[in-house]
Amino acid sequence: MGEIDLIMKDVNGIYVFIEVKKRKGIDFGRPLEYISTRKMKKIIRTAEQYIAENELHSNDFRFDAVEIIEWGDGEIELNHIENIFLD
Amino acid sequence: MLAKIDTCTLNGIDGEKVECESDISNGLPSFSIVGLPDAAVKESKDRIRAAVNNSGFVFPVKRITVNLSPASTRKIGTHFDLPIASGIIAASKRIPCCKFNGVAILGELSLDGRVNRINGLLPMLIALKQLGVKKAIVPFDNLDEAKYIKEIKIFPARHLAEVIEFIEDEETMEAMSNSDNMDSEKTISYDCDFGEVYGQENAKRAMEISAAGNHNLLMIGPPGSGKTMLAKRYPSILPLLDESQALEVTKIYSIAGLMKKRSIILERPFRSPHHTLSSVSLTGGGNNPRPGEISLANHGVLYLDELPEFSRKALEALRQPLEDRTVTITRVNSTVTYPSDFVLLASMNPCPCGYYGDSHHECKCSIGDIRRYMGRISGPILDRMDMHIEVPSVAFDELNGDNKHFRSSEEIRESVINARKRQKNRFSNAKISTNSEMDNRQIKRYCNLNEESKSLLKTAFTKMGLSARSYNKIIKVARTISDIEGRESIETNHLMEALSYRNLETKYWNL
Repeated sequence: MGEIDLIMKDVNGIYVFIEVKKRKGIDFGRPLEYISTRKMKKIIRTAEQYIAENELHSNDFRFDAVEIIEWGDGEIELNHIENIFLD
Repeated sequence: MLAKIDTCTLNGIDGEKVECESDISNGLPSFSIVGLPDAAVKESKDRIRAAVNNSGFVFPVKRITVNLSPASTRKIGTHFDLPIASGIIAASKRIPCCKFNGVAILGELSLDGRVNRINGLLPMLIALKQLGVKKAIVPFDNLDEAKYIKEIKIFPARHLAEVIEFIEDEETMEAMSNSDNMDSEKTISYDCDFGEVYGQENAKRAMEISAAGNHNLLMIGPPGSGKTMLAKRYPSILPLLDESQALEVTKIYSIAGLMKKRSIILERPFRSPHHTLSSVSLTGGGNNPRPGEISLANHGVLYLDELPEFSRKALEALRQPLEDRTVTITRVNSTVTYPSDFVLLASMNPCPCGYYGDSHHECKCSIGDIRRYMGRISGPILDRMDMHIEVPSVAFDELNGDNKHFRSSEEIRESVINARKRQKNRFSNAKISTNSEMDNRQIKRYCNLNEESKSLLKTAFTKMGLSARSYNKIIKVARTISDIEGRESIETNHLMEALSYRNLETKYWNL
């Protein structure tokens, strides 16, 4: 089916499916740009299966993304974007 | 959580009530609009999301379903933004449904949450009024259009936040004071006048008759003789629209998005499209039908300058609307009927070079050229023109005379209004108001000819080779001439004048 990097629960009890992308530098674009529509569709389908298997239908869900950039000097930048879902 | 808000959609020139239901439930976040939305309604998703976020609300990360019921009619227009956005916010804030009872919401949203003006507000409000809706929230920019509806309390909205405040507590917004300002606008000044036209008395007289009885008029003359000048002054001798006509005209202009900042249109429309127009822009059409020039000229004048230059397809498309006074546009998506009750005013040159029959210039065209040129006006179109007149070039002395004895537009208008009053009284039991609308039975009833006139008409009929339609048209024009003179019966001289407006066919078309 597919894989989901992280599945977490936030303080309000919302299930959050998180896609994590890491790149070394941004010479070829930021990591977030590598999350394509196709990838998003795949994440949604996988999430749907997870929800069905665990019978979570009555809960709220959200899709987030985390981008990690490893700069040349070894410094790590971390960005968390909530609700990346746009239909 | 569910929210239900009343709104409206348009089908032709009539509105239809639509219920906008917004449901927010748990599940994967999604936003879908169902109920046969058109492309513009589907696009509203993105506007709504941005507007809600930029107005200080949170767009819910939940499963959102919006249904526009009845789900079987196609929804066109951008005015669904505001009811959908209000519904989503209300549902997410858990505002009880009863808060919206009897309030209709219409409006387009800007990305920053401001409410933009919409097209077709007046016909939608009229429909809501008939369905018993008592309160409506409309865009502030459209206020002028809403003024005329007295039965509905109108709340003008500038911003989405204002609307939500209003739903939570009705005291926050003030209803507009509805004023019937139809009377205050009743004086309309025209920037041109028949008193300024030197010479062309014959043409002025023909225009008076045409205006009095709604008769179609064709002007033939060399370039520069004043055909366009005369046509431009034609609206200035027409009476203002009455209340029901004004509403009908305003409805069409509202749908076409031509209202600008007016409340109601009282002057008769004058449309003069360029001759490159297509038959669709003339009659109306498109995937989601829009009114064309003939419907925009409803209750007014459609002026076609340089008639032979129009495409044949466009001209022939006029035939049926000229007879029926309505046009029905059928497309895959919908069938709509627009009114098209207009006077056709047309002008043309008598030949390609323009000077055939002129006393000062020599015509350079061959008979074949002229025949081909005049042939562009087909028999059926020519037959539907009640009156044909020549507009000859003006002599020098006429141009330099004084214009004191010329009748001003106001004087002519007075006589037109009186003649129209006589017609209205005569037809008070029938459904028509002008002579040109008479059918065969009404002609028999209201247009009695004396023996002399009958024999004159008999001779003319055979000699001029008249069709049954033009025969009727001549009698109708004679009826109008007698109405202008304030006479009850049609005299022989009235009929003779009416006949004189039909004799150009032999001169120009039977070469």
